[in-house]
Amino acid sequence: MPETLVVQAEMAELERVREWADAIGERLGLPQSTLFAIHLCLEEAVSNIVRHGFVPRHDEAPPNKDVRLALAREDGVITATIEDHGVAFDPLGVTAPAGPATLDDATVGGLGISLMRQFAQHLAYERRDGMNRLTLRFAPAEPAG
Amino acid sequence: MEMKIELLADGITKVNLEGRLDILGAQQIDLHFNVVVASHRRVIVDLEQVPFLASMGIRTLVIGAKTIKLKGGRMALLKPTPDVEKVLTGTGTDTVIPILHDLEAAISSVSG
Repeated sequence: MPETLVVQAEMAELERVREWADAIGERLGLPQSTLFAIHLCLEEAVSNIVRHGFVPRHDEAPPNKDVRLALAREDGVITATIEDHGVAFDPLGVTAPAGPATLDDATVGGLGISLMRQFAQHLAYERRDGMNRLTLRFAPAEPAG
Repeated sequence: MEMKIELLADGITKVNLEGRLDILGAQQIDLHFNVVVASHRRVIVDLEQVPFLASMGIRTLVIGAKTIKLKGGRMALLKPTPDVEKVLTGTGTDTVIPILHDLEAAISSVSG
């Protein structure tokens, strides 16, 4: 049975996301590295929604900024899903920036998606009923301690 | 996120960070960090007490390193945790900002 949390697409909500994931991680006895990966991917995914998911339109009703998060463990695999009502965006369709050759080449954009690809063992995206749904899976977690 | 400055010998500045370098952490230190990198040429950023690093934290570090480089200076990162180091290597940040696990090595890295 997944644990769920609904937040608003606002940076101030990231603290609630962190606390929620921390509590679940403690309850499940997740290894520190697994919890780190989950925290990282949730932060990058939600912050992308906040920064890019909504275009201000003064002639329309305020957008639905609910972001629904779920975490579940089945057969040792942790699955995280993030659903939002923002503009259609498939992070898997974005080309990850190449590693910088020099400091002058180093960019500060696009790293979030690159990090999600590296820290999650599986990513999937779908757009359905006006919602983005990003699914991430993390390697089987062994109990802590 | 807290930031403390330690002045070492030979004009080297050690920036000791403590806390999560996530979006909120980066916002908390950005102004102060930018002031430090704008006014110092040899900077070691101690990450030993930083349990978490996300892309906005990398942004703070990279922009800081670029600022220092423009003045002919150097920046190095000291003692990241294994998970934090994985973030740095995964983004190629380690290829442009040296990562050291020993203070003397970090001092050598930013000197000269």
